[in-house]
Amino acid sequence: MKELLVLALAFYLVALIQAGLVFFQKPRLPFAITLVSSLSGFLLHTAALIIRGKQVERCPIALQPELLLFLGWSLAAYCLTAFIWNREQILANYVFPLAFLSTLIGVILPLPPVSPLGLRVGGTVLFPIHVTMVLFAYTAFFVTFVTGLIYLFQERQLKLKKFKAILGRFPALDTCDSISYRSMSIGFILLTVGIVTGIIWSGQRYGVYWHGDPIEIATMLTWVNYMFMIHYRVAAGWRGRRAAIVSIVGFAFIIISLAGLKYLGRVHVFVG
Amino acid sequence: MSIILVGLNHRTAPVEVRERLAFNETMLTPALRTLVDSEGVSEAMIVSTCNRVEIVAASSMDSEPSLQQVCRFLHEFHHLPGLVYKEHLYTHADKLAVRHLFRVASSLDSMVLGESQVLGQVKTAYSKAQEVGTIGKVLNYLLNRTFNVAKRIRTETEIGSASTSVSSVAIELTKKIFDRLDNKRVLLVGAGEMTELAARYLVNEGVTQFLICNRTPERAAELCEKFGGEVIDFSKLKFELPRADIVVCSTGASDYIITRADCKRALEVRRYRPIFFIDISVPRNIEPSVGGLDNIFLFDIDDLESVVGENLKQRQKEADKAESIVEKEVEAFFEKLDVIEIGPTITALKEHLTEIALSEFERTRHKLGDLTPEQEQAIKQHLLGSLVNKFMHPLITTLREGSRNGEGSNIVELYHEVYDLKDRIAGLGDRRSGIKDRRM
Repeated sequence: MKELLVLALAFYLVALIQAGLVFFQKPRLPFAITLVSSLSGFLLHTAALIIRGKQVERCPIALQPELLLFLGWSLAAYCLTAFIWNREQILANYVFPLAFLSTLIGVILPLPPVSPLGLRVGGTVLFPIHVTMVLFAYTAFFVTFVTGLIYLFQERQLKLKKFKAILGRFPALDTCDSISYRSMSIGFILLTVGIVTGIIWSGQRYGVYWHGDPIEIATMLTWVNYMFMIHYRVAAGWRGRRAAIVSIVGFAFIIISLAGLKYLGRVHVFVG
Repeated sequence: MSIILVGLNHRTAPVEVRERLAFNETMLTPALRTLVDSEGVSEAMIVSTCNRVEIVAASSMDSEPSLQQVCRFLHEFHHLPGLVYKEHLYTHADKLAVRHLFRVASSLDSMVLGESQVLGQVKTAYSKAQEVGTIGKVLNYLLNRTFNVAKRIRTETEIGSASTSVSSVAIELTKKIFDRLDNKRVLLVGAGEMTELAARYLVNEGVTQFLICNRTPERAAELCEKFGGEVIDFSKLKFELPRADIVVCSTGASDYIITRADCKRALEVRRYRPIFFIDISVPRNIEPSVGGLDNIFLFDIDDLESVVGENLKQRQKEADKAESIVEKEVEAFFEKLDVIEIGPTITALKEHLTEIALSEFERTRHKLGDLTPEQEQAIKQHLLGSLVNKFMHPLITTLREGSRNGEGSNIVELYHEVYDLKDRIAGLGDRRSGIKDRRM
């Protein structure tokens, strides 16, 4: 399984190089090469996740390395969709390095053959749904975060009347704003489902719905933050700079909850 | 063989001279024909635009007399006595000629550095010459390289990326804010020349909805007829503001027509969808502090002009990179050209010598008695083959060395005469391209 992942990383490397070339404004690789190679990488990545699932006889997203591998997978899935659908390469080029990084760390971290958690959570379908939904939501929020950064950067440049050629490489402010809003809405729905399934699962397992765990608090803050954002957008037309800032703050909460998995969690803790 | 170039451009000649020496569409065919009919000139093409005339030719003579000849042609064709405009012409041969053409096509020689039209003009000139049949091997190769160099410079440098006119900068800024313009509504305040010009640019970008507001409604109605849209009463400007995504303002008013308060209200009504203001009037008609509001982008004429200035500076920087690409490509061009020049001669020479050897073998064949097929094969391939190669070796070495010293064409010609290779080489060309060369 590790071999497959290393191979997948090798394929991803092409798209990573492409991202670098775009960033440093060098001539790009042909689109077809990037697409085929990241698609191959993605298929290998998928195969590796399935094999892992078969080995441990559960959904392979319980341990931290597994989570990272899955996060990398869903980010890569996003990039590929963007590549294929509207050739919106520019955005994918900023998301892709994170997909690569996440997968890379997932490969490097030691992976226990069978997890003790595997036995504990095996009984219910709610747990994998909880984790998958939350991670998918994070992927969507990451896209919002990236478009938010691009929006802010461009907006600043325009306001300061510093209009450089480099701006030509980013999507228009309008586009940033609408991509950001769309992925935020999708992320919000997924996160809601993720949180609800998590609470129900916890109730079934421990008889307690809320543990007061820092991770839970960070996640709830994330949820509340995005909920307010969507509310104000619909009700008061908040958009542009404010929306971008909120999406960046929201992502900071996500980083805290992901990093916290290792150091702060009590219930959301992983053995291994 | 030499490549020569005679030309004039906006730097060497004023427009009165350029227009006297320019070639219009109908002149091109006879001009190209006359050129290749003159002594020594085997291939030619003419690029003629409002800023320049460039005559590129391949000649079998030395470059100096060929250049003189083309200069004379340029005057005679335009019925000018003597060489009156000689001091406006520049003449380049070989490396300098190739370099000049590369620079022209990459727009390093243009009035506006990095503009993109000139490449298209060179391309048109090339296909015109092809059509008339005055393009041969050398110019074909030269022009293909030229287009490659121009393309390389476009992709590897940023020379053409930044806009260099106020209008195109304004359009580019608009596109930075809105992804598409065809569904946007534009408010024109003032119906003067400037707003009309802006409207024309915006129509080109697909804008169809205009709101036109002018103190004298008659003039607004005139514009309205041209571009479509609706006329707005000047006193109602404030109330119509929320409907506009893009506002172009150019009036003679001496104070602010659109204030910060107006914009704040407009934003609220619009639910903060962005508005892009372009204020090209002097004195300014839009309160400058409007630009500080979120989701509003305000550019006045100075802002646009300073962007243009920045972009020109940027282009100049990129031009240095482009120049070094040109230098490298010129070197590479001549290395490859040598091969094109001597390649066919070597092939023809080998064919010629092999034929002689084989026919001599056939003549003495009956004296050799019985030979097994293997023996016959050995004589043909090994003995005769290596004899031909041995004979050829010093010839090829001389040719290669000569071509490196720029004597290639003289030696090629010598061989052609000594071994009578002309027809054979023409045959080679036919076989390779599959079509009969129209000229040469």
